[in-house]
Order: sequence, then C-alpha cells, then structure tokens
Amino acid sequence: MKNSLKILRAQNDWSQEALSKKLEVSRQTINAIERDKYDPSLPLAFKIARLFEASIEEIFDPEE
Amino acid sequence: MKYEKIDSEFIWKKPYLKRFIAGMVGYGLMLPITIIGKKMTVNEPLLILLAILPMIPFVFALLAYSSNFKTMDEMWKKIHAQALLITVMVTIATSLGFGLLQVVGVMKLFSVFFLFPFMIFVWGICFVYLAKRDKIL
Repeated sequence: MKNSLKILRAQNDWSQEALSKKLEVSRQTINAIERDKYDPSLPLAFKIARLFEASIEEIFDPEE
Repeated sequence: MKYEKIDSEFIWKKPYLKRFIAGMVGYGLMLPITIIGKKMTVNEPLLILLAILPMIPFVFALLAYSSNFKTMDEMWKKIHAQALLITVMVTIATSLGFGLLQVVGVMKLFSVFFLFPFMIFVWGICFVYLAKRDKIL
C-alpha cells in the first residue's frame, strides 16, 4: 500500500526514531511502512492519522 | 558494513525476557538431572517424573514467549509469526517424509527429542531470512 508517511514526517522535520517514539512502535516498523514493505494495523493507521491530523485515506492509498 | 541498532525493547519486554531466560536456564539445569537420574534409578514412576522434570521450566519459558508475543511491536510480531508458520510447515513436511520412510523401513526410528532443536534451527533461519528480506536486520 502506497503512503505519504515519509513526506509527512519530513514536513514535520522528524526523524524515523522520533516518529517511532511518538507512535510507540519500533523504528523498523516506520522504515518498513515508508518503504511500502509493511501495511500497518488499523489501530496504528488511526494513530498515524491522528498524529498528522489527517484522514487515513489522505495518508494511505490502497491503489497500487 | 553498517549494522543498524535494533529496538530490542520492542521485541522483548524485560519482565518476559527475564522469565524466558529463567525458564531456559531451569531447563538446562534439569536436563542433566534427567540424564543422570536415568542411569541411577530403575523405578519407573520415578523415571517418568525425572524425564518430564525439564518440561516444567521449559513450559514456563514458552508461556513467557507467548505473553511477550502479544506485546511485541507489530512489525516484529509479523516476522515472528511468519517464521513460526514456515517452521510448522517445514516440520510437518519433514516429519511426514521421515515418517513415510520409516513406515516402509528404509529409515531407522529416531527420538522425537530432536524435533525441538530442529524447529529452533529452522525458526532461526526463517527469522533471519525474513528480517533481512524486509531489510530490518
């Protein structure tokens, strides 16, 4: 699943480490999501959306 | 070669890790008791008790792993689960193959005790492969 997590993170000037701490997940999870290697669980997707004050659809695109 | 720092606290929570290590150390300590006890006694009920003695700390370690799995970071949980699934499939296929060879008599019977280290070995290979594949190791 494509996503704009990397762009959103860059806009906020956060490192992967900083974002992982805010979301209470490992840095590897953030890295894998950003590289489209891993689709986050629904609770984590909601957490990401809430953190960036956006809807899940604005961040994650199910279209390949 | 650059090695990335792994967020170990997302893989093993300290209380569960302590319980797991305690269980495995207990298993390691009780295993010689079983082996020595086998040579020292012929009393069957006592032999059974001695034989299953290492199982108690081992089950304790497995329960710690199970509890830890529930709290694991979701990316690591996915890799652990995938490695476990492949391990189960490899074990089923291998035991079926060996079992059939034993049924037709071209392979000698061997102890199922070796199943545990075999599964740990397969799981380890799968885990490293999957983590490398997803570039998180």
